[in-house]
Amino acid sequence: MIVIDTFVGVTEAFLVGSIYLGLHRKIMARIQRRPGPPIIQELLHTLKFLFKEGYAPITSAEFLYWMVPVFNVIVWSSAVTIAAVYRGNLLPFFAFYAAYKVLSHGAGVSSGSTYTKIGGVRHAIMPAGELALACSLISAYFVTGHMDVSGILAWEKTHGALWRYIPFSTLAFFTLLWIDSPHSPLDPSKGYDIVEGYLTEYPGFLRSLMYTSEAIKYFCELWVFQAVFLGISDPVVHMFVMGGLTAILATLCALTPILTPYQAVGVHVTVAGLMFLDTLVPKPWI
Amino acid sequence: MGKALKVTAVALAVAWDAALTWVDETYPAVVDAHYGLFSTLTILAIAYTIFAIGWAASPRSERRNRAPFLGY
Repeated sequence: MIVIDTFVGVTEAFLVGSIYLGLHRKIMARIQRRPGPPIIQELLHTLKFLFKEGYAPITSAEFLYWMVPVFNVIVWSSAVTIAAVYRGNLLPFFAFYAAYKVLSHGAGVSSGSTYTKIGGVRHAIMPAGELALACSLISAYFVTGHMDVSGILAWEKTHGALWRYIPFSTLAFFTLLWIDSPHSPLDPSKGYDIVEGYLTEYPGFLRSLMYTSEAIKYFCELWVFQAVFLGISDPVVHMFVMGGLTAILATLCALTPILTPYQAVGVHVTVAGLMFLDTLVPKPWI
Repeated sequence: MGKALKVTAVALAVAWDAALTWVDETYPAVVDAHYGLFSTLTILAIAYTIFAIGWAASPRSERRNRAPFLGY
């Protein structure tokens, strides 16, 4: 049932990711005393754009420009399949995350617009996304002896949730979720000074593909965080905790002003550096 | 682009998806033995299907030679 499992898993990731991105937007709006759009707005947006004209600007590197959205969907569908559907190895997840950064940079530079170029470059220089991801997964490996999700979940069934053993690595991974959530103060690649960053020049169904991959990415990152650090394996509990995490992330994003790229990188590196405290700080609760 | 090309692109996507599902239902042992290959084909099918539907269902105009929205 590999093919059907993959189809169902990717579709579920897209639908749930879209709904939770809508919830994120709604909570942010309510905190800022705006009514905000309906929760299904992100999903409706993606479907609406799917039937709008997509075209390349005259200055674009056309092949790259057309292929980046497609590869984005491939990258995050692969990540969600390996991590959430098959509960497999997390090293490809890290590789896919790095590939996503390369693709975002490609999306920025391929259109030929200086605004998207700045957005793409800013996104690529946000280093601690990968740094935090790599270090926290390595921390998980050192504690559990497993790099695959099913092995880590089995270990957590016996020993308890991993966040109690490596709280600073958990914080680092949570920071990654914060960096990647919409309107994050730690990700200035979509700051208002450069409009929508690397997405600015993507119209129509190409933008729909970008939104699709964003929804799958959101689901995938939250799912991996919950499975690896919180020890959650039940799908229903996953859904509830995902909602709670979305509420926390939306609150953080709504209340924090956007940082400059240098400040954001400083925060990333500091949080990633805190992970060394996992080896130094005693944990009496274990 | 002609209507025939659009129909062909969508038909190919549907055939690709249907063929993979049919193989999965009919020969599960073969699919399990080559799970990497079939997972890859499925993910490529998903990306191609969304792209083909979007490309075929969206209108075409003379905007192809437009300048970027911003930066120039």
